[in-house]
Amino acid sequence: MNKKKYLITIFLSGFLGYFGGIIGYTLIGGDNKIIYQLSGLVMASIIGFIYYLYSKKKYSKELKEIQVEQKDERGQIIAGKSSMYTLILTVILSISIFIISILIGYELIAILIGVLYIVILTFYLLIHSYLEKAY
Amino acid sequence: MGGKFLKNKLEQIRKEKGLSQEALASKLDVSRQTISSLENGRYNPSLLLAFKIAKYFDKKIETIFIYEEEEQDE
Repeated sequence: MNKKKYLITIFLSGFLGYFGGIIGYTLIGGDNKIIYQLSGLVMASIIGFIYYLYSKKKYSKELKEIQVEQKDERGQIIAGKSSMYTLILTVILSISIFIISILIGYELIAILIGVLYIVILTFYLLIHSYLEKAY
Repeated sequence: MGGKFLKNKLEQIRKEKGLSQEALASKLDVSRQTISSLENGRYNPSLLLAFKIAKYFDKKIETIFIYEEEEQDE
């Protein structure tokens, strides 16, 4: 099994766990929407974790490849730049939605986007300040 | 990634030792893609990785990685 197939099987195990959880909760007669979603998430985590423990021995080579790629310096630079560009695009998108919301009269959405933007900016400044001292 | 890239003789030295990219990557604890990017000049290694490579091949860093000053227009 190659690394891509391994990652797909991990994803599928979580996916099946999610559906198993929500179906199980429905079968026992549950009707709370929050517990309905939580049961799916909990079961997805449990099944995913069990599959990970099982695969640790069986697919140790693929796991090692993934661990090496996570520590790999070039991979970390790519991940950092991807995060940065994603943040920039998210901010541009949120500003666009903010402007459009005001223009079409959906002030609540504009306010929520504005608050979200302030939270993102605050996180960015705090993290930046911390990293400036750390490095 | 971005900016000026060092030239290097990594591919030549690797082949002299009879190593594949994957084997060298495994020895240096990096991905095969990193070795490929280094050899193609698409990526500059960190100082730590450059030292690791030099130590592995028992050569000086300057033997493997070549820094050329940019010519300035007068």
